[in-house]
Amino acid sequence: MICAETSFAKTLQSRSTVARERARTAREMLAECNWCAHRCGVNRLAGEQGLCHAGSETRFFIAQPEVSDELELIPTFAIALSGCDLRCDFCITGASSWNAKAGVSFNAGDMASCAVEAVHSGARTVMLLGGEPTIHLHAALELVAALPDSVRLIWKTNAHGSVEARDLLDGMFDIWLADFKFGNDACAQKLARVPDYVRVVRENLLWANEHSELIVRHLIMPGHVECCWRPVAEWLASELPGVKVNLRSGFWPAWHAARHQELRGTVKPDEKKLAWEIARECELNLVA
Amino acid sequence: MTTEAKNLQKEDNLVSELLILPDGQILVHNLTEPFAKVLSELNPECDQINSRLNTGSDAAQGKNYTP
Repeated sequence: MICAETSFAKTLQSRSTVARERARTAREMLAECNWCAHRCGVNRLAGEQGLCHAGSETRFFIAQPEVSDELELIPTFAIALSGCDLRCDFCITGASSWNAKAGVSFNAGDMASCAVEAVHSGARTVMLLGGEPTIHLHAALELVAALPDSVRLIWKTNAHGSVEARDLLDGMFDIWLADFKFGNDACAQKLARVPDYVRVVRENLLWANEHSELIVRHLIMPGHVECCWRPVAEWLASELPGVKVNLRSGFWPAWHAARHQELRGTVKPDEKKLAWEIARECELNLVA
Repeated sequence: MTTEAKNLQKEDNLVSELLILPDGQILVHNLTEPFAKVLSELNPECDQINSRLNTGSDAAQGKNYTP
Protein backbone atom coordinates (compact mmCIF):
# COMPACT_ATOMS: atom_id res chain seq x y z
CA MET A 1 0.00 0.00 0.00
CA ILE A 2 1.33 3.40 -0.95
CA CYS A 3 0.17 6.43 0.98
CA ALA A 4 0.04 9.33 -1.39
CA GLU A 5 0.99 12.72 -0.06
CA THR A 6 -2.26 14.59 0.12
CA SER A 7 -2.78 18.20 -0.76
CA PHE A 8 -3.51 19.27 2.80
CA ALA A 9 -0.43 17.51 4.07
CA LYS A 10 1.62 19.61 1.71
CA THR A 11 0.08 22.80 3.05
CA LEU A 12 0.14 21.62 6.67
CA GLN A 13 -3.57 22.17 7.05
CA SER A 14 -5.40 19.92 9.45
CA ARG A 15 -7.79 17.27 8.19
CA SER A 16 -10.70 19.03 9.82
CA THR A 17 -9.84 22.33 8.19
CA VAL A 18 -9.64 20.78 4.74
CA ALA A 19 -12.82 18.80 5.36
CA ARG A 20 -14.66 21.98 6.28
CA GLU A 21 -13.65 23.63 3.01
CA ARG A 22 -14.49 20.57 0.98
CA ALA A 23 -17.86 20.17 2.71
CA ARG A 24 -18.82 23.62 1.50
CA THR A 25 -17.76 22.75 -2.01
CA ALA A 26 -19.60 19.45 -1.83
CA ARG A 27 -22.80 21.08 -0.69
CA GLU A 28 -22.65 23.49 -3.62
CA MET A 29 -22.08 20.57 -5.97
CA LEU A 30 -25.43 19.10 -4.94
CA ALA A 31 -26.85 21.51 -7.50
CA GLU A 32 -25.64 19.04 -10.10
CA CYS A 33 -25.11 15.80 -8.27
CA ASN A 34 -22.56 13.45 -9.77
CA TRP A 35 -21.35 11.80 -6.58
CA CYS A 36 -21.88 8.27 -7.80
CA ALA A 37 -21.14 6.65 -11.13
CA HIS A 38 -24.78 6.89 -12.19
CA ARG A 39 -24.02 10.57 -12.77
CA CYS A 40 -27.68 11.67 -12.61
CA GLY A 41 -26.72 15.36 -12.59
CA VAL A 42 -29.89 16.34 -10.73
CA ASN A 43 -30.23 19.47 -8.63
CA ARG A 44 -30.73 18.02 -5.17
CA LEU A 45 -30.77 21.50 -3.65
CA ALA A 46 -33.90 22.22 -5.69
CA GLY A 47 -35.58 18.99 -4.66
CA GLU A 48 -34.77 16.96 -7.76
CA GLN A 49 -34.05 13.29 -7.16
CA GLY A 50 -31.80 10.91 -8.98
CA LEU A 51 -31.70 7.14 -8.78
CA CYS A 52 -30.81 7.17 -5.05
CA HIS A 53 -33.80 9.45 -4.31
CA ALA A 54 -31.69 11.46 -1.84
CA GLY A 55 -32.36 15.14 -1.39
CA SER A 56 -30.14 17.67 0.32
CA GLU A 57 -30.97 16.37 3.79
CA THR A 58 -28.95 13.47 5.20
CA ARG A 59 -30.58 10.98 7.53
CA PHE A 60 -29.21 8.05 9.52
CA PHE A 61 -30.64 4.79 10.80
CA ILE A 62 -27.87 3.27 12.94
CA ALA A 63 -25.30 4.85 15.25
CA GLN A 64 -23.81 2.48 17.80
CA PRO A 65 -20.63 0.64 18.79
CA GLU A 66 -20.36 -2.67 16.95
CA VAL A 67 -17.97 -5.62 16.87
CA SER A 68 -19.01 -7.35 13.65
CA ASP A 69 -16.46 -5.79 11.34
CA GLU A 70 -12.82 -6.68 10.76
CA LEU A 71 -10.97 -7.57 13.97
CA GLU A 72 -8.42 -4.83 13.43
CA LEU A 73 -11.21 -2.23 13.31
CA ILE A 74 -13.42 -3.18 16.22
CA PRO A 75 -15.01 -1.93 18.32
CA THR A 76 -16.09 0.64 15.82
CA PHE A 77 -18.65 3.38 16.21
CA ALA A 78 -20.82 2.63 13.17
CA ILE A 79 -22.93 5.36 11.60
CA ALA A 80 -25.29 4.19 8.86
CA LEU A 81 -26.65 6.86 6.55
CA SER A 82 -29.98 6.29 4.84
CA GLY A 83 -30.21 5.74 1.10
CA CYS A 84 -28.03 4.12 -1.54
CA ASP A 85 -27.23 4.41 -5.23
CA LEU A 86 -27.39 0.65 -5.77
CA ARG A 87 -30.49 -1.53 -5.60
CA CYS A 88 -29.13 -4.85 -4.39
CA ASP A 89 -32.13 -7.12 -4.01
CA PHE A 90 -30.40 -9.04 -1.22
CA CYS A 91 -29.56 -5.92 0.83
CA ILE A 92 -29.65 -6.80 4.49
CA THR A 93 -30.70 -3.26 5.41
CA GLY A 94 -32.90 -2.76 2.35
CA ALA A 95 -35.72 -0.89 4.05
CA SER A 96 -33.35 1.87 5.16
CA SER A 97 -30.77 1.58 2.41
CA TRP A 98 -33.29 1.95 -0.38
CA ASN A 99 -35.06 4.81 1.36
CA ALA A 100 -33.09 8.02 1.79
CA LYS A 101 -35.90 9.33 4.00
CA ALA A 102 -35.55 6.53 6.55
CA GLY A 103 -34.25 7.24 10.04
CA VAL A 104 -33.80 10.72 11.43
CA SER A 105 -32.02 13.87 10.39
CA PHE A 106 -28.24 13.79 10.59
CA ASN A 107 -26.46 16.64 12.31
CA ALA A 108 -22.70 16.43 11.87
CA GLY A 109 -21.85 18.27 15.08
CA ASP A 110 -24.17 16.15 17.20
CA MET A 111 -22.94 12.94 15.63
CA ALA A 112 -19.33 13.97 16.10
CA SER A 113 -20.02 14.43 19.83
CA CYS A 114 -21.46 10.92 20.00
CA ALA A 115 -18.51 9.51 18.07
CA VAL A 116 -15.97 11.25 20.27
CA GLU A 117 -17.72 9.90 23.35
CA ALA A 118 -17.47 6.40 21.90
CA VAL A 119 -13.80 6.90 21.10
CA HIS A 120 -13.13 8.13 24.63
CA SER A 121 -14.80 4.93 25.86
CA GLY A 122 -12.40 2.89 23.77
CA ALA A 123 -13.78 2.60 20.24
CA ARG A 124 -10.81 2.13 17.93
CA THR A 125 -12.46 3.57 14.87
CA VAL A 126 -15.44 5.52 13.58
CA MET A 127 -17.07 4.01 10.53
CA LEU A 128 -19.30 5.83 8.09
CA LEU A 129 -21.49 3.52 6.06
CA GLY A 130 -24.95 3.27 4.62
CA GLY A 131 -26.81 2.61 2.56
CA GLU A 132 -23.99 4.30 0.78
CA PRO A 133 -22.21 7.29 2.32
CA THR A 134 -21.01 8.59 -1.04
CA ILE A 135 -24.46 10.00 -1.82
CA HIS A 136 -24.12 12.08 1.36
CA LEU A 137 -20.62 13.29 0.69
CA HIS A 138 -21.32 16.81 1.96
CA ALA A 139 -22.56 15.48 5.30
CA ALA A 140 -19.68 13.02 5.54
CA LEU A 141 -17.18 15.82 5.11
CA GLU A 142 -19.03 17.92 7.66
CA LEU A 143 -18.64 15.04 10.12
CA VAL A 144 -14.92 14.77 9.38
CA ALA A 145 -14.61 18.50 9.94
CA ALA A 146 -16.26 18.17 13.33
CA LEU A 147 -14.03 15.34 14.53
CA PRO A 148 -10.53 15.57 15.98
CA ASP A 149 -7.86 14.70 13.41
CA SER A 150 -6.70 11.87 15.66
CA VAL A 151 -9.87 9.84 15.20
CA ARG A 152 -9.30 6.88 12.91
CA LEU A 153 -11.98 7.02 10.23
CA ILE A 154 -13.32 4.27 8.00
CA TRP A 155 -15.14 4.84 4.74
CA LYS A 156 -17.36 1.79 4.21
CA THR A 157 -18.42 1.98 0.60
CA ASN A 158 -19.82 0.09 -2.37
CA ALA A 159 -16.96 1.59 -4.42
CA HIS A 160 -19.40 2.94 -6.98
CA GLY A 161 -18.48 6.58 -6.45
CA SER A 162 -17.41 9.07 -9.10
CA VAL A 163 -14.05 10.67 -9.76
CA GLU A 164 -15.37 13.93 -8.31
CA ALA A 165 -16.41 12.20 -5.11
CA ARG A 166 -13.11 10.47 -4.53
CA ASP A 167 -11.18 13.65 -5.22
CA LEU A 168 -13.00 15.27 -2.31
CA LEU A 169 -12.47 12.17 -0.17
CA ASP A 170 -8.72 12.12 -0.73
CA GLY A 171 -7.00 12.07 2.64
CA MET A 172 -10.20 12.30 4.64
CA PHE A 173 -10.57 8.68 5.71
CA ASP A 174 -7.81 6.42 7.00
CA ILE A 175 -9.24 3.20 5.68
CA TRP A 176 -11.46 2.41 2.72
CA LEU A 177 -13.52 -0.68 3.46
CA ALA A 178 -14.89 -1.44 0.04
CA ASP A 179 -17.27 -4.06 -1.29
CA PHE A 180 -16.54 -5.86 -4.53
CA LYS A 181 -19.88 -7.61 -4.83
CA PHE A 182 -20.17 -8.81 -8.42
CA GLY A 183 -17.61 -10.35 -10.72
CA ASN A 184 -19.36 -9.41 -13.94
CA ASP A 185 -21.69 -6.75 -15.25
CA ALA A 186 -24.55 -9.14 -16.02
CA CYS A 187 -24.90 -10.21 -12.38
CA ALA A 188 -24.54 -6.59 -11.24
CA GLN A 189 -27.32 -5.52 -13.57
CA LYS A 190 -29.55 -8.42 -12.59
CA LEU A 191 -29.08 -8.23 -8.82
CA ALA A 192 -28.42 -4.52 -8.23
CA ARG A 193 -29.63 -2.77 -11.39
CA VAL A 194 -26.28 -1.13 -11.97
CA PRO A 195 -24.54 -0.92 -15.35
CA ASP A 196 -20.80 -0.83 -15.99
CA TYR A 197 -20.22 -2.04 -12.45
CA VAL A 198 -16.95 -3.92 -12.77
CA ARG A 199 -15.02 -1.14 -14.48
CA VAL A 200 -16.14 1.47 -11.96
CA VAL A 201 -15.35 -0.63 -8.91
CA ARG A 202 -11.97 -1.74 -10.21
CA GLU A 203 -10.98 1.85 -10.91
CA ASN A 204 -12.06 2.98 -7.45
CA LEU A 205 -10.28 0.14 -5.69
CA LEU A 206 -7.03 0.90 -7.51
CA TRP A 207 -7.40 4.55 -6.53
CA ALA A 208 -8.24 3.73 -2.91
CA ASN A 209 -5.22 1.49 -2.61
CA GLU A 210 -2.99 4.36 -3.67
CA HIS A 211 -4.61 6.97 -1.47
CA SER A 212 -5.44 5.17 1.78
CA GLU A 213 -5.37 1.83 3.48
CA LEU A 214 -7.74 -0.55 1.70
CA ILE A 215 -9.68 -3.61 2.79
CA VAL A 216 -11.81 -5.32 0.14
CA ARG A 217 -14.86 -7.30 1.11
CA HIS A 218 -16.73 -9.91 -0.84
CA LEU A 219 -19.92 -11.52 0.37
CA ILE A 220 -20.26 -15.04 -1.00
CA MET A 221 -23.67 -15.31 -2.63
CA PRO A 222 -25.37 -18.64 -3.25
CA GLY A 223 -25.04 -19.59 -6.90
CA HIS A 224 -22.48 -16.86 -7.59
CA VAL A 225 -19.15 -18.34 -6.57
CA GLU A 226 -17.87 -19.08 -10.07
CA CYS A 227 -19.44 -16.11 -11.83
CA CYS A 228 -18.78 -13.49 -9.15
CA TRP A 229 -16.22 -14.56 -6.57
CA ARG A 230 -13.73 -16.25 -8.89
CA PRO A 231 -13.27 -13.25 -11.20
CA VAL A 232 -13.10 -10.89 -8.22
CA ALA A 233 -10.48 -13.07 -6.54
CA GLU A 234 -8.43 -13.43 -9.70
CA TRP A 235 -8.49 -9.72 -10.39
CA LEU A 236 -7.47 -8.88 -6.82
CA ALA A 237 -4.61 -11.36 -7.04
CA SER A 238 -3.47 -9.86 -10.31
CA GLU A 239 -3.97 -6.12 -9.76
CA LEU A 240 -3.93 -5.64 -6.00
CA PRO A 241 -1.60 -8.38 -4.74
CA GLY A 242 -1.34 -8.39 -0.97
CA VAL A 243 -4.38 -6.22 -0.39
CA LYS A 244 -6.41 -7.27 2.61
CA VAL A 245 -9.47 -9.27 1.62
CA ASN A 246 -12.36 -10.25 3.85
CA LEU A 247 -14.32 -13.13 2.36
CA ARG A 248 -17.66 -13.19 4.13
CA SER A 249 -19.98 -16.17 4.16
CA GLY A 250 -22.90 -14.85 6.19
CA PHE A 251 -25.27 -14.23 3.29
CA TRP A 252 -28.85 -14.32 4.33
CA PRO A 253 -31.86 -14.09 2.03
CA ALA A 254 -32.98 -10.63 3.11
CA TRP A 255 -35.15 -7.95 1.54
CA HIS A 256 -36.02 -8.87 -2.08
CA ALA A 257 -33.57 -11.77 -2.41
CA ALA A 258 -36.46 -14.12 -3.11
CA ARG A 259 -36.89 -12.44 -6.48
CA HIS A 260 -33.94 -14.57 -7.55
CA GLN A 261 -34.24 -18.32 -7.31
CA GLU A 262 -30.61 -18.85 -6.36
CA LEU A 263 -30.75 -16.27 -3.55
CA ARG A 264 -33.64 -17.86 -1.67
CA GLY A 265 -31.37 -19.71 0.73
CA THR A 266 -28.01 -19.37 2.39
CA VAL A 267 -24.61 -20.36 1.06
CA LYS A 268 -24.21 -24.12 0.85
CA PRO A 269 -21.22 -25.81 2.55
CA ASP A 270 -19.75 -26.93 -0.78
CA GLU A 271 -19.99 -23.36 -2.09
CA LYS A 272 -18.17 -22.05 0.97
CA LYS A 273 -15.52 -24.69 0.50
CA LEU A 274 -15.06 -23.78 -3.15
CA ALA A 275 -14.89 -20.07 -2.33
CA TRP A 276 -12.10 -20.68 0.19
CA GLU A 277 -10.28 -22.91 -2.30
CA ILE A 278 -10.38 -20.11 -4.85
CA ALA A 279 -9.02 -17.69 -2.26
CA ARG A 280 -6.17 -20.06 -1.50
CA GLU A 281 -5.45 -20.67 -5.19
CA CYS A 282 -5.19 -16.92 -5.67
CA GLU A 283 -3.02 -16.57 -2.56
CA LEU A 284 -5.17 -13.74 -1.26
CA ASN A 285 -4.27 -11.93 1.94
CA LEU A 286 -7.38 -12.91 3.86
CA VAL A 287 -8.39 -11.11 7.03
CA ALA A 288 -11.20 -11.83 9.47
CA MET B 1 -26.46 19.24 21.12
CA THR B 2 -30.01 19.59 19.89
CA THR B 3 -33.00 18.27 21.76
CA GLU B 4 -33.64 15.80 18.98
CA ALA B 5 -30.14 14.43 19.21
CA LYS B 6 -30.38 14.19 22.99
CA ASN B 7 -33.58 12.26 22.60
CA LEU B 8 -31.76 9.80 20.38
CA GLN B 9 -29.39 8.87 23.15
CA LYS B 10 -30.85 5.67 24.43
CA GLU B 11 -28.80 3.48 26.66
CA ASP B 12 -29.30 -0.26 26.78
CA ASN B 13 -30.91 -0.18 23.39
CA LEU B 14 -28.26 -1.58 21.11
CA VAL B 15 -29.54 -3.21 17.94
CA SER B 16 -28.42 -6.56 16.53
CA GLU B 17 -30.26 -8.78 14.07
CA LEU B 18 -29.94 -12.51 13.81
CA LEU B 19 -31.12 -15.33 11.60
CA ILE B 20 -31.29 -18.85 13.00
CA LEU B 21 -30.97 -21.49 10.29
CA PRO B 22 -32.62 -24.93 10.42
CA ASP B 23 -29.23 -26.56 10.99
CA GLY B 24 -28.63 -24.45 14.10
CA GLN B 25 -26.27 -21.95 12.54
CA ILE B 26 -26.81 -18.37 13.66
CA LEU B 27 -26.05 -15.46 11.36
CA VAL B 28 -25.78 -12.02 12.94
CA HIS B 29 -25.87 -8.52 11.53
CA ASN B 30 -24.88 -5.36 13.44
CA LEU B 31 -23.25 -7.45 16.13
CA THR B 32 -22.79 -5.58 19.40
CA GLU B 33 -20.59 -6.76 22.23
CA PRO B 34 -23.43 -7.46 24.67
CA PHE B 35 -25.10 -9.63 22.05
CA ALA B 36 -21.80 -11.33 21.25
CA LYS B 37 -21.59 -12.26 24.94
CA VAL B 38 -25.03 -13.84 24.79
CA LEU B 39 -24.02 -15.87 21.74
CA SER B 40 -20.78 -16.87 23.40
CA GLU B 41 -22.67 -18.21 26.40
CA LEU B 42 -24.87 -20.24 24.07
CA ASN B 43 -21.85 -21.68 22.29
CA PRO B 44 -18.62 -21.13 24.23
CA GLU B 45 -16.63 -23.03 21.59
CA CYS B 46 -17.40 -20.57 18.79
CA ASP B 47 -14.12 -18.91 17.88
CA GLN B 48 -15.80 -16.50 15.47
CA ILE B 49 -17.76 -14.94 18.31
CA ASN B 50 -15.10 -15.26 20.98
CA SER B 51 -12.62 -13.36 18.83
CA ARG B 52 -14.98 -10.39 18.92
CA LEU B 53 -15.23 -10.32 22.68
CA ASN B 54 -12.81 -8.83 25.13
CA THR B 55 -11.80 -6.08 22.78
CA GLY B 56 -10.71 -4.19 25.86
CA SER B 57 -13.09 -1.36 25.43
CA ASP B 58 -15.99 0.17 27.28
CA ALA B 59 -17.14 1.53 23.97
CA ALA B 60 -18.45 -1.82 22.87
CA GLN B 61 -20.88 -1.67 25.77
CA GLY B 62 -21.75 1.86 24.93
CA LYS B 63 -24.70 3.97 24.07
CA ASN B 64 -26.89 3.60 21.09
CA TYR B 65 -27.87 6.70 19.16
CA THR B 66 -29.97 4.85 16.64
CA PRO B 67 -33.37 6.41 16.03
